[in-house]
Amino acid sequence: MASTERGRSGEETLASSSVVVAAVTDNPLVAADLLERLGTREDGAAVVFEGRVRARSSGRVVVRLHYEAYREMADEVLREIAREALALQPVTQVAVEHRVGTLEAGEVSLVVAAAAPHRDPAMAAVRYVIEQLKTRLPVWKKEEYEDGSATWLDGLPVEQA
Amino acid sequence: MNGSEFPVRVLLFGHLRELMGVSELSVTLASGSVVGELVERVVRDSPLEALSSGMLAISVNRRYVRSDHALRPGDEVALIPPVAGG
Repeated sequence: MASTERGRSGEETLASSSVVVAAVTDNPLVAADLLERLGTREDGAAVVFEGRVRARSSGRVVVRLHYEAYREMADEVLREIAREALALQPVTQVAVEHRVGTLEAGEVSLVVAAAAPHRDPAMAAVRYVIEQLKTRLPVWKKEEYEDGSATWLDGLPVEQA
Repeated sequence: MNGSEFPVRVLLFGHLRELMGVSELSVTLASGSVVGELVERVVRDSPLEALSSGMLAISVNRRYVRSDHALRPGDEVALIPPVAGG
């Protein structure tokens, strides 16, 4: 097999590229653990992004967040987005995990990682996954504040294909 | 229910689930019904009326679809309010 092949985007895709993991999980996320699973000897770059629960939202103090997902669909959407990232960028591996359930401020809600021979595609792939999941991953969050009140956050309406 | 009607499951999440007080509905549709008609049925006479239905996306069998998508017996439909992952 040639060392490269054409992705559906027409960009160059590494032949051995793969989605290492793309899933919603109840388990705590650790970016370093995910990063350790990525990369080959050909990869000069490995990038990881960690999304965390911010303790402040619109001027209010957030104690915790409740994440809810349409789980089966969310797994499929994450896989689809990860595959798109592989098709768009010459990266070797992509991984993404989104946590659901109740998270305290400071906890990790999202990890996205990519490994590639060169840094720019790796960083671009990670950014692509984050930006895309913001627009179409079926996940919702409810913020709980210091005073005990809680509210579902306004999200982005999904644009139909 | 006669032979020209069929039930579909409709899943609700987040704010919608709380507004409706249930996480799942069963709606009986006439054969040939499309997604837009189902949404109209669910939204009519429900607290959802307060929501702009333009904000709702719809999935059928875990894929986003348009409102003219034809429904079939056994379909798993979900009303997807604006998403907030990350």
